[in-house]
Amino acid sequence: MKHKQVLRLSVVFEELKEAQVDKIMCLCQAEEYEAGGTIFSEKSPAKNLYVLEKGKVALQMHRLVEPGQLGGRVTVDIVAPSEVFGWSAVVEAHPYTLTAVCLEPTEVLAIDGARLRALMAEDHDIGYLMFRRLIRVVACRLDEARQLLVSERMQASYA
Amino acid sequence: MDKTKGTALRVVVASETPELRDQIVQLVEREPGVKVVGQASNAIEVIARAKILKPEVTVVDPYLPYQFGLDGIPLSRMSGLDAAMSVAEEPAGGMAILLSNVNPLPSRDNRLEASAELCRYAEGFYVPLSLRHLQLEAAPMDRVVFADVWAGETPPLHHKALTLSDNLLVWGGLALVAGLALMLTLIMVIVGAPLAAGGLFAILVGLAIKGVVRCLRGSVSREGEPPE
Repeated sequence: MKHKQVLRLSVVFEELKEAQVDKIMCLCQAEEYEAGGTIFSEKSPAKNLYVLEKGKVALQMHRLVEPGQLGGRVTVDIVAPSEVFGWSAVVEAHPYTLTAVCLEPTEVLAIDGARLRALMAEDHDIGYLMFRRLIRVVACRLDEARQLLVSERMQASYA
Repeated sequence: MDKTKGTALRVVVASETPELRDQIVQLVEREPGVKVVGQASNAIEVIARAKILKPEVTVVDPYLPYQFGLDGIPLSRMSGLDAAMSVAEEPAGGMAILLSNVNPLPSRDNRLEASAELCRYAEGFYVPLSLRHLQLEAAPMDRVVFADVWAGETPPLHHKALTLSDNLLVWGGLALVAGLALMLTLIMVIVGAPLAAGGLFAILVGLAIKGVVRCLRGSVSREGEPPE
């Protein structure tokens, strides 16, 4: 029940009906991580979509120092409870583009990506409602990233 | 004269606001022999300070801005982990402590709550954290440590219970070994047997306390969590 509530609070799943949420609940598994634990790593196969139940997760990306040579990791976002992360598992079965590191003791709901994609293909209502919300979330993140980029470029040009 | 002056553990503290920095400084300096030698308000600054001052420990707020932009606007308030990792990767950068949650630090009169202490989440519980012990214990690969701030009204019961069980296990083990050794000499059986029995009893009590605390983990850890 607690896990279902978390799913319902998430922006991506909030438009789904009770029966549709129940179908997704069948694909969920609760996982716990300690502070400093890595939920998934950049370039590893994207198996699960995650909903943060409790805690705080930093999404980090390796910076490219030179072509083919990776530098340190840079945090591009911090995930708050009820937010989703690990979209690569749903959009396409690509490797994860970021590394997810827990900043504090963390509980997540891991949704099996392959089975979720199959469910969305089978039940188009779920697929449409989920993708509609997911695109909105991605658009917000893109907007935030652009604003940050503009601020930093302005800073660099005036420095 | 300060007795710890020669051996003081040198710490750099990084947080965006001066008020929060002050409170982290007070918190860190509560531990005897710990001295804050530098402060920083953004990621670029703390990395530079760590390079110059070479502190043994750097304590970082997770919502540290990358730097301050035009008009003093903080850019990218999520660089705490990156700064901690950069400091820890420096050959002489020392250890970095990332405070997962600084919210419990009160802002009342800018004075730190008497009960506030650094703690670490281990085995499902928040346990007090000593910078000196941490520096001695941590493996070279474990140079970014995730800590928290506890500011409850009273220290959680399980802190005491776990400390007691650890002490019982250590001292019970020593008594058991000493008792068995004495019994081997045959002459000292009268002394050795009760000592070994006492040691065994202490170990069993210690294990029982650990078991009870773990069974109660759900309810106790909820009680012991720092407030949101």
